[in-house]
Amino acid sequence: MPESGSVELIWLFGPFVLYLAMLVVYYVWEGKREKRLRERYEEAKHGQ
Amino acid sequence: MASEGLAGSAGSWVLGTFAVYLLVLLGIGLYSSRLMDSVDDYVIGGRSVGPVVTGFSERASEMSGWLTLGVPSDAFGTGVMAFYNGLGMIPADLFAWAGIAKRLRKYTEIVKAVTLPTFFETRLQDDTGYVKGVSAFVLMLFEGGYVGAQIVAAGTLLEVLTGVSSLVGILVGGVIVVGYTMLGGYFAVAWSDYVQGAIILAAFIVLPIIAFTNYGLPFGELASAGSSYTSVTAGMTGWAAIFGIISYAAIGLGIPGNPHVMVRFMGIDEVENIRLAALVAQLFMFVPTSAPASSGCTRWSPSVRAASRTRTTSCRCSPSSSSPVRSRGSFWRPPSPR
Repeated sequence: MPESGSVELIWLFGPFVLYLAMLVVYYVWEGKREKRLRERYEEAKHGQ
Repeated sequence: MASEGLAGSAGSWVLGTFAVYLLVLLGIGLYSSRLMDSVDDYVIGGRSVGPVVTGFSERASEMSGWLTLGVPSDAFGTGVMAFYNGLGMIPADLFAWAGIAKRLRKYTEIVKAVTLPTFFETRLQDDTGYVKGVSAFVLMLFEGGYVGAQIVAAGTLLEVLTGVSSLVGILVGGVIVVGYTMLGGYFAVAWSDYVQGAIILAAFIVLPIIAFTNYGLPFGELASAGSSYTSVTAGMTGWAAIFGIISYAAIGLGIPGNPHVMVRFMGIDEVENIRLAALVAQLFMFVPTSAPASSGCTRWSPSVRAASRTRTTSCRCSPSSSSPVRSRGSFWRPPSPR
């Protein structure tokens, strides 16, 4: 698509690439947090 | 009954498809009505709707008439800046999923609240009934207007495409939408949203491909002519550009707290599924926020302009209306293709 070079592609799609990265960070980070909370809950449950 | 619409002879196919679509919605409503056992089932689906349906439903309920009608029109009049309609929507939605969804889902289950007014009443420990009354009034007032606008959008689209009076689409669409919602409650709403979301996704993947295959990319010609349509700020500079971008981003401010979004958070089956639902909703969002803008941009392709010129030769347009080029900084909007 040679014509697309005439559009400011970085400014146009840059924010969306950033949002995709934010989504990946959220998904991974939230998954780890959930796992940690579950482990803590299990430990507390067995500790009683 | 107006004359022929944009769809021309294919108008009867559009009407037929619309009728089938409404019947499917009615079928979902009738089927869901058999699953109702309690108020919880009716209002939030008994907190048993899965993550994929919840994710689709959350987005399809939010991606309303503004997306299908507004964004392509925005691209038509502004150019590639219309892509920025997703600028505020996507992060605001992620914030809502990450910051509100789990808390709301857990809290409403603990206090057995199935509506937002009840949630606010419990959360604020109000026993006068004022909080519940005011929030219910605000919800009905603004959600009523919002839902009404969607039904009007459907009627308008039908009129533009087929020439059938918008009143017909508004009345028929309104009766069916209210009917299936009353019959099947949240189950019907969530599953019909899922169907609608799948249609939106498929349409917005296919539409730009068809448009660009048939009409080509107009950007090179426009850019060489100095048009503002290829500028992400629509040719604006300085404070005008900054406020232009901020105003696009501000569209997303309504998402966190939006009642029809919050009820999706409350209705999901498991708290641990919220992460997956968020992923589905967010990935879904990338397509519908960019595809309508892409489709609207094809308006400036040479072949589309040629057809548009033929159609508008008899209208009282500005002398430059047939030109695809808008000078930088100009706020003149091109006439409608109709």
